[in-house]
Amino acid sequence: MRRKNLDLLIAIFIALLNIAWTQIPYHLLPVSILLALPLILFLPGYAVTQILFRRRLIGQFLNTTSELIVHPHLKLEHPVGNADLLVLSIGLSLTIDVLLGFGLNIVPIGLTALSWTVSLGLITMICALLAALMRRKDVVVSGGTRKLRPRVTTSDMLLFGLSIVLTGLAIWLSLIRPLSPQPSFTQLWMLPTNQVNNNCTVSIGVQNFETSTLTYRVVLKVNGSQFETWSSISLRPQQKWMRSVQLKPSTTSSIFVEAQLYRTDQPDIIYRNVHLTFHSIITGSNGGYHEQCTLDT
Amino acid sequence: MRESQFQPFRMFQDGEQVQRQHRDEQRWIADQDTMPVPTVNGEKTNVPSSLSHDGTLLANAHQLMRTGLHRLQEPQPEGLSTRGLQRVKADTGMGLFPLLTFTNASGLFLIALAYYASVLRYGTLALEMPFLIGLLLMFVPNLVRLLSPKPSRLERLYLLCVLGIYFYAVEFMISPHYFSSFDESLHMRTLENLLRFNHLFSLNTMLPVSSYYPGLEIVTDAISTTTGLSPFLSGVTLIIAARLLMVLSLFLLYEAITSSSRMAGIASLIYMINSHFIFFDTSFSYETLAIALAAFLFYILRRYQSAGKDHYWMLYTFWAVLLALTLTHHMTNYVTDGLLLLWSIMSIFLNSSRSVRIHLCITAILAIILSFSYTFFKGNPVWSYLTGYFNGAFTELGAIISGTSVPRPLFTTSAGPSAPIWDRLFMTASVGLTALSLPFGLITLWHQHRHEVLCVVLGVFAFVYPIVQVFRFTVFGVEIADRSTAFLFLAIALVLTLLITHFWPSRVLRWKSIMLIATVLSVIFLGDVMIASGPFYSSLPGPYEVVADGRSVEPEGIQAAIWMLDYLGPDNRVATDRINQMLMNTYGDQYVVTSLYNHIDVSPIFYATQLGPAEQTLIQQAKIHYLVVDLRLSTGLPVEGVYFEVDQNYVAQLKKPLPKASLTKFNTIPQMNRLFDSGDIVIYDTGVFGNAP
Repeated sequence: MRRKNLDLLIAIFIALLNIAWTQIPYHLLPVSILLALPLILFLPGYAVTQILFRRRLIGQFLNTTSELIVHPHLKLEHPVGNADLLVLSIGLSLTIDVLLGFGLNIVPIGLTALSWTVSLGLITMICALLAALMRRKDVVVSGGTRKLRPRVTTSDMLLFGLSIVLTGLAIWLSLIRPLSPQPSFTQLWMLPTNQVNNNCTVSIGVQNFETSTLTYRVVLKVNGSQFETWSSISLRPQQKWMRSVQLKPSTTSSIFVEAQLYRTDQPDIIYRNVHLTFHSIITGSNGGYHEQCTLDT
Repeated sequence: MRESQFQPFRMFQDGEQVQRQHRDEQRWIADQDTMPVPTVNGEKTNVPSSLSHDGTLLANAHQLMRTGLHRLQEPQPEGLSTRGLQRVKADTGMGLFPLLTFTNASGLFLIALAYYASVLRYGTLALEMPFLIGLLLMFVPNLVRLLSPKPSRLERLYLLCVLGIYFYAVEFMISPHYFSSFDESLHMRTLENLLRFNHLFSLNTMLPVSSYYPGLEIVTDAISTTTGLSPFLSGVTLIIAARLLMVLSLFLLYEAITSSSRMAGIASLIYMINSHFIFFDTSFSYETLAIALAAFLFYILRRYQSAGKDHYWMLYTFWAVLLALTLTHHMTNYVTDGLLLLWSIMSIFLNSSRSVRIHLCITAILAIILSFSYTFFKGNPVWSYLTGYFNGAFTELGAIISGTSVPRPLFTTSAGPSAPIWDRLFMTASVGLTALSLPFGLITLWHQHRHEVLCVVLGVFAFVYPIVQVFRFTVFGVEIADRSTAFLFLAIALVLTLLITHFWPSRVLRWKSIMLIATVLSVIFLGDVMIASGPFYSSLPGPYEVVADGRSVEPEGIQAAIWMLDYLGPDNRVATDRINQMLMNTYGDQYVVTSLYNHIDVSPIFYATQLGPAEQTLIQQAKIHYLVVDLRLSTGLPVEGVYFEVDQNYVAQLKKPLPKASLTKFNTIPQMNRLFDSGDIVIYDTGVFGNAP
């Protein structure tokens, strides 16, 4: 019994393992992949196939017909050969996934790792148990047939090994291929901070995406006058620099704030440039006055 | 005489009676699978096979034609072993599978070198030559092996599956870190929404219809959430699974139709030479999964047709797959419905059992009802999406036919010089050879396979191929000609296989014939690859080009989109060019204002030399909060033909690059805030114009 249903037992075991795995807080990626991929791409379809298209043993077929004519893959009453089984398992698994996705969309939890694992696990287990139930009258024919296994010679192994190496090299070459164009840019930005309080504060940021470490200078101007300067900002590739600046009250109604970025190797050329226009409003409350800044939005 | 000599070819000669007959006959059948059927019947073959040596050219041509026609009417070109009617050696080796895996790997390595050289700016030739040679290194040895009657069925299956995966690797290596093509980025947004909200039907302004056909995204979500893999790697895993399903389904479908593993192998390989098999149908796009499901669907139905009344479960399985297909891709679903309808109509007129006829009709009606119901499901925008496109294409074609419009010049783009002469020859020969071969294959089909209803259905479907080629002369409808090949090759592969296997049955297959077949199919293959890889191989890796989809996706644009998400949050209304639209949509999670969803063309904002009242009103109407301006647009013409989603009103201006002044005009508008500058990309807050929500 156990041997006859070994495939189904393995399917149930993997489904149970998947459900248990979702309950563990820390997940190891390779284990998650090894467990989940069969559950999504193979097992539900396999279990359904075992119910719908039960495979009759080739031995039975051979006993009733000529041994000279062997064509199980074309025999109509035997729709499930190994290739058929594989294609039905993958195809039905993908079909179940798509339909189940629409089903899970209806429930409040939606499409999450837990809902996927539990629902696919349950489908696999129920179908596997049904298939086992349907198989209970089947008789295991032992020694009647010999499984055809491809013979792999040393030269075959060598060629497979070389193929794997060449394929790996090809993929590796594509992974290390230089980007075109090479990332050689620097981001400069300026944003009003905390617009809820409208307190004329700006946030300035620089991020280096060049190929090497660079030194920058940032100049902040308010209504054309230099307000603040930061020199010798040295940033490695990917490194970020940020400052928050409170602006002084202005006598004019609008405040034009401009930030300019220079590279120290080209000190006279504006490398990046951003600007904001604030509107300054003086409001009174509880006997006091304070200034509010708003952007043009 | 001919009637008795050429027995009708029964598709499945595997009943007890037939098997007994073969068992009796085996006493005098030679122990090889290349025995012609006339010899089996104890009669001499009268199929002429050589030319007259003393005749005139006309007589030779006449004899050649007679030979060809005789061969095309060959009743059974296949030997017993490839039809599964002869016992094969039990302990079989792997054949040439290891060697051909090695040639596949060598081809892939050559292609990787080509990609590398292209990025280092060694020129188009340094990309083209090793790339095409690498593809041939994969294709030709497999073709030669599959043409041979020697490989076992298992070896054929191995060869096809491995080649299918290697062909996918060709596409994967173009962008091994992220999905870079335009269509892929659209679907990535739907996937990101699904991962973010855990529910379907969220808004994707760049492809609203994708939210209603989320089969691809659902399975990718399942893989990503349960395994912990990134969305990109989850998508890659799904594509590989879909590719395996496609190849196996095709093989089993063709095998069921032809009763020959050799013919099934050849047909599956011919299907692989269609222009979309390597590129488009391996991208992260709904058609990739849908076309595999469609092939699976036809395989199930064909099996059901053979299996008869005892296999109702196959029909139920078919309906489940049909439902999944309906929810995965609209066009694949409609094409499948059309084929099912044709199949059911044909089954009424051709020889098929009553129960099969009834079930086919019920299935076709059910499929059509299902499609209509979902097409007009509340909120589903697919009707307006497709009718808008097809109306435009047919209107343009009508204008060309009536002479009110000029045809699109072939092999040219707005971005540069036309394709080299050898590329043009290959592309023309590819389409021409395919179209010219069809009538000969159809003769065979009609003479020997017209009792097989699905065969006739596919034969009729193959006629569509030459017809849709007229759309290549339109600007709007050229995609119809391109995209239909993935479906049409299901039929073309079968028709060409019938032509090849009947004209050169395995018993008369010599090296010269194999070389001729390989050459013709290689020309079709390379021509299709050139068509699919875009102008100047722009879909392959290489230096940055202006609006060239994959080649325009680079770190600066991606980082700008990521910055926007980090510092300005998601779902801001953004107007920008075609490339930054897809980056802001995918990496930035922004609400991109599009003419497809919002019915607003934002291109005038960027084309205008000054931000006048009309442009300001447009910004206000579209409630655009941010403008993303890519200054590189002024450095060249767009390879894809347009800078923005719609450039309809500016086609005349696309003779030269967009003026830089049009892109920098925003600096001088005091009400606009220049928030971000990375050199080439500048982000503006539209300020008072935006009237942002």
